[in-house]
Amino acid sequence: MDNEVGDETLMIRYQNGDARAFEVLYGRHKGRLYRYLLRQCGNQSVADELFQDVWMKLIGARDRYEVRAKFGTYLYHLAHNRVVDFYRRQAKVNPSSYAHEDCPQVEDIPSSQHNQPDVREEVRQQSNRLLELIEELPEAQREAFLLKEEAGMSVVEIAAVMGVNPETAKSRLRYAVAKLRKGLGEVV
Amino acid sequence: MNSQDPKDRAFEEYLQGQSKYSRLYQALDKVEPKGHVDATILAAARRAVGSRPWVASRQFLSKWGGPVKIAAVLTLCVGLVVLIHDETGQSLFDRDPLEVIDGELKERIIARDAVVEEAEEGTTQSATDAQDRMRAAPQRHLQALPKKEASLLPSEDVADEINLPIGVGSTLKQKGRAEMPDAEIEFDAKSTHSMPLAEPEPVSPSTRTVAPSTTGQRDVEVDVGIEDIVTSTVEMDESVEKAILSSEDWLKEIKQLRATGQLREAEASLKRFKVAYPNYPDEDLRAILNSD
Repeated sequence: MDNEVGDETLMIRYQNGDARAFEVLYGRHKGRLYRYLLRQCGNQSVADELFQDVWMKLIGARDRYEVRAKFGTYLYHLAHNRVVDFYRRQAKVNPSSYAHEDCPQVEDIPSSQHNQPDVREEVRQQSNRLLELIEELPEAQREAFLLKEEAGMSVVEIAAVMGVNPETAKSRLRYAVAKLRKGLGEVV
Repeated sequence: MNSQDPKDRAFEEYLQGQSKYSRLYQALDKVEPKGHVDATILAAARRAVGSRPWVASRQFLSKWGGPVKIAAVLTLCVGLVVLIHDETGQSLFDRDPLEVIDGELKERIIARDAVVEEAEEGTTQSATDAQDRMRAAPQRHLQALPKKEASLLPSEDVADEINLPIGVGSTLKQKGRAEMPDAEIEFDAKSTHSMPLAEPEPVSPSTRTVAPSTTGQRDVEVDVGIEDIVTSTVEMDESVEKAILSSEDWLKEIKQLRATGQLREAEASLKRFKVAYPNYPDEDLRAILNSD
């Protein structure tokens, strides 16, 4: 029955004092949000902290919540802001990749060296390689990719979360995919 | 279509969710937050809604706002009355009990007085008959009793005969003394009171009888239905009786019980007294019980 209820409805229920609704909502989003944060910052303890902060922010802002967009967009927007804060604290400035609308650094990514006969092993190795490549992506491109893969968002939703126009979001995603493709050693 | 840039084609495939990169990414371990992180967040979420101050909706306020205001004013008034009584050192319970008692109990007491008066008046045969008739009476007739007239009547022998519990509110108290079967109780002046009685209800002629006054001064009309009246008075709980009695009266009654050798009853009554008056000074208690 809980599966049939939309995220927005659950959030409204929680806003009205239904703690059980929050539990359902949390259960739906915790894994994907956690991985999004973990792969953004690359550190588990930092990811724990960011993850906790995002949910606490959501809890604190429950009274102001209004259904203007998908709940996922709202949640990941909170997470995006928290991640950007984290980057600022790390670098003291905004990550440069968030300032560029296009990111011409494809050639920096090394090519794959892995060629294994066993398919499963190959998939595992390629997945691990993909993870490494994701970590090497500029923050903004990485975020766009993770929002697409973890949150299952469209380009428009990614743009809404990141606070940019859809073309910029699409451009970031395009560059991310190009770098991953090159990093995996694909020759087309 | 085939002339499309391979990069663009790969990207379009990716957007449609058909790319190798998506499959590889989904094959990665599904890392989850640790249990303690879950617990912390869920506890905070529950705490947030649990401790959230309740905010009344407009609908609720429009429906209940008036009654709530009235209730608040009443509460404030009662609180002020109690506070004033406390500050002036005068307890509400120092007053004549009938000023405090209201409702059914008050009616019962009035009814009992009325029956005593009726018995005194001699309108009916015996006290036992009166007692029997009282059991079926509707209480609403009580207020029809003309107290002024009834108070003119003689009484002392009747109280004994009926074996009515006599307490505060009895007209007999105005006479200062009443004889009980196994105890003689004196009533102090404090427990005598005047109480406004309602005007007599119009009663049909068939239900009224004219009783000759033993004083010969005047005739008194007594409602025949009176005998049906005061059932609950006779059955009145003893504890209520004791509550109506002043502490001194009660102690005198206990003393009387002792004096007449009814030690068990005296002991039981003393226990009830201590429950009813837990703060009664022991010295005074002993002084009264041991006095000659």
